[in-house]
Amino acid sequence: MAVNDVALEINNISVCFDGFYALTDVRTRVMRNTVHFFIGPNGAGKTTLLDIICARTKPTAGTVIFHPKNREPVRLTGMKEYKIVNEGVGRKFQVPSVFVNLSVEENMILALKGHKGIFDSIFRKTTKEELECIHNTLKRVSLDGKSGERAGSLAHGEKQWLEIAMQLVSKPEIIMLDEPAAGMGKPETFKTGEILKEIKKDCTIIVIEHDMDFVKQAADIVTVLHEGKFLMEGNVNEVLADKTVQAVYLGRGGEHDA
Amino acid sequence: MVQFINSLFNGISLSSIILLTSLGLAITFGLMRVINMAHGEFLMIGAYMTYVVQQFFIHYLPESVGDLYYIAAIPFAFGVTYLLGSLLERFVISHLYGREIDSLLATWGISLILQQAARNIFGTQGVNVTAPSFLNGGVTIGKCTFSWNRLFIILMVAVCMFFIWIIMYRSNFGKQMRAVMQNRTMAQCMGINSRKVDNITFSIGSGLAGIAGCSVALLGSIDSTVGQNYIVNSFMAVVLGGVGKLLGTVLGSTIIGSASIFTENYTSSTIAKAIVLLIVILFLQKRPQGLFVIKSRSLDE
Amino acid sequence: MKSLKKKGPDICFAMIAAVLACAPLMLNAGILNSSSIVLFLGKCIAFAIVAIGIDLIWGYTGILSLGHGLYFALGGYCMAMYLKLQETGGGITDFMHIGGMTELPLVWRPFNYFPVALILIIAVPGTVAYLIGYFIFRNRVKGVYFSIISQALTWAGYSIFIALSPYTNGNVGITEIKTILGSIKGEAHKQAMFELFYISLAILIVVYAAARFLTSGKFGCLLVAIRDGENRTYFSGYKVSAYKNFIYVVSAVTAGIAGAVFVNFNGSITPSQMTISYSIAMVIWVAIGGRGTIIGAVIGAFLINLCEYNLSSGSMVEIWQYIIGAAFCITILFFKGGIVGIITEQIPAVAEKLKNRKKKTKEA
Repeated sequence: MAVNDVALEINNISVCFDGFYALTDVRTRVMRNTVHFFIGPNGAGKTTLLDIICARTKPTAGTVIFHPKNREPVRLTGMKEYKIVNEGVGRKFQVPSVFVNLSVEENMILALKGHKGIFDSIFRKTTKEELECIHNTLKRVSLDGKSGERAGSLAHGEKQWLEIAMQLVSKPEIIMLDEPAAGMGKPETFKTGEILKEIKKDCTIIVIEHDMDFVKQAADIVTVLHEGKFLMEGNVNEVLADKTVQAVYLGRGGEHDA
Repeated sequence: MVQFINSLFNGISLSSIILLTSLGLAITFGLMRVINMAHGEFLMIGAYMTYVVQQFFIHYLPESVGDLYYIAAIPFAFGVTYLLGSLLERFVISHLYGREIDSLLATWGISLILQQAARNIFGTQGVNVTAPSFLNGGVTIGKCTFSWNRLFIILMVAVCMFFIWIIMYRSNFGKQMRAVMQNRTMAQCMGINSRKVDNITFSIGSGLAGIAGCSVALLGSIDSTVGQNYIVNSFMAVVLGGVGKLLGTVLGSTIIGSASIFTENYTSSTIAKAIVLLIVILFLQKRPQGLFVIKSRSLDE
Repeated sequence: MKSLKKKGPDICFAMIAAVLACAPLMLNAGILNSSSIVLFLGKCIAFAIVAIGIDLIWGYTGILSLGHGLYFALGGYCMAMYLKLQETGGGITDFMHIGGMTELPLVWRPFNYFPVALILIIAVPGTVAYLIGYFIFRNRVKGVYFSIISQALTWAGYSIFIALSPYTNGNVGITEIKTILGSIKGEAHKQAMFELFYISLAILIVVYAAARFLTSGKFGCLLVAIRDGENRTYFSGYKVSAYKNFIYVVSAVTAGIAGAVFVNFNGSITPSQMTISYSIAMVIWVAIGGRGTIIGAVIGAFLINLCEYNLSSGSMVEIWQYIIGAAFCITILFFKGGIVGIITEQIPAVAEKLKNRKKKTKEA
């Protein structure tokens, strides 16, 4: 596989909280334009891994290298989080965190790509093209009728959609989604899967999810983590067929399929 | 050398007063996420209560027991501030859980009211208490003199700390308190009456400020602003030491107290204030989140 | 209805400004009987300006500074030093003489020149705020921790100004100064007083307009975003610490300008303007007027100070402390939006409830 197909390199990441290793020597590669799932039982270190990629947590050892399209690779470990976002690595958090006192549209305007400086924020007007882009993205997640509403008044599922829409409108090269389907019903989850498959043409998607139907629907590659260690990696069928994976995760995974 | 030991001694006695006041602040902040700006006024009330008890002894009791007023004043001051704290918690603080900044402002309103009340009752002029005769003088070791009243203050704080330690770490109530501090919802599910725990904790914190007031009364004249002079340092000690751990508060208070006394001795009290501020800001450069770390999956609390 | 909600604050401000503009005319016509009322309104204008600054960082950005008295006083001292030197003709002042100085200290010299003094009124509070903000916000110190540090800052500033008595005249402050337009005392200088009043009013209008501009667009959204979810804003790609520092400096400069205006009407500046309680008093105005709305800050500043002016004479002065303490406490506890909040949210909500109840009883 050619190197320029790699979007994200995770090299030997370890992280230690007060003597407890949340991640031990995890290494993997995320390919460009794929939907890459991380699964594993609770406490496997999935969220911690995302935290490290977006610099919310500092790793004890190891590096994360981002390979942007048509640019030199960038080392993400050691960078400030807002710089990572501006490099094109975005993240949606597990607990929906939209700006509750702003309208849906204002939330989207803040998420737009570029122009994050103070001067631009004060004097620059949002262009027509950008507003159109916002409108189209909201339409995609069926929030276009609510663009004037306070984000705080949205239902839980709608907040999830809004946050996904905010990621989309910021046009990142890599989107990281932490349990995007949590709080959604089956039809919405399915729709999320379809959207992921559609947008992977333009970007790379990393997802953490427990819902195995969702994994089956959308995953190109699945990495299984267990107790902070890399367990195995492959396409959905390979992973599901693996004996160890069944033992540590799927065997007791029924409870997660809510 | 003599000067050094004297500074150290004064530093420790100031630290111990700061410790008594900041302890209440730190515990209530850790427990309820509430900052009590009226805490300094509890100290003031404690100091005034000492004065009241002394007046009572002078006017109504024989002179022979006059010196014992101070011993009586300590539990009295604790009791009064404990009750006031309990009332304040019941009627004001309980509406403010989790609203850190709002709690700070609302209690400032209380503080304005308490200060004015003190001016109305005791007048704008400062009042003085005479230290009981058994606290006059001091011990002299070599060339250094340690005054009895400062030694007494240190001893008193040590006793208070011991009781607090027992309450926090060796009693059933302390277990409940720490449980609520770490996870309120879970503690409630276990059947702990968190309202009661909050109320008692807040009251104890206020009571400690009252005792601190007793010791302040020994050191100088009492007026309505006496609390303000100590409270800024106590707040800084809380910032430095973090919340929820006794040791943090002890360390924070010691650093603030000694730093201000030492710089004051070698420069002036003005520069001391600036230096203490500088120390805190520098400390925050090194350990901005060292105070307490919130681990949660949601981004913003 | 919707446009009224949007335009409401500006209309309200225009009305306040119009009433203020009439005050000198009313004095001429004899409706107001004493020129001290106009002087007092001038001070209120200064208070409204600093209240706008506090609202920008507290109401919008959620950073509670308990130290804006420091910036207010810094601006005030800069102005007062210029005015004092006008009086002495560039020579040394009495208190310097008493302090043992024979020639004008270096820090005073720039204040001989009006343009330099004007620049310093903005630059001094701005620089201090920038340095403090830089070191504090860089490490994401926030919430009450920032408030406590800002409080200690004022405390330190206050004692430094008292200690540097040969330069600042300590406790007494810089007194017996005229205004930038010369003396405004007495009937003869009435015209100068009016001019000064209108200049201040113009400054208030400019500050109000600037604050409205800042808070209306994307920048305003960002301030609210920082208040509601600081980390989330970082993860949207914004350097929040820089934004916070920027708005902190803006707010400090606003306070400095207000201080400079204040000195002209007050005729003196003392360190008591930079105490903690004076700083929190400013926050009280904003809280009672209504945080998070610029007009709320203006209303609060005028209302509280006018009440204080009328009540705090004679026996009422003692009761005033109780009133303001209780009002502040109750506002924070039950009326988060202050007066503006009561008008725009609570009253409509109650009205709605009554309507529904009436409907229900009718249906029943």
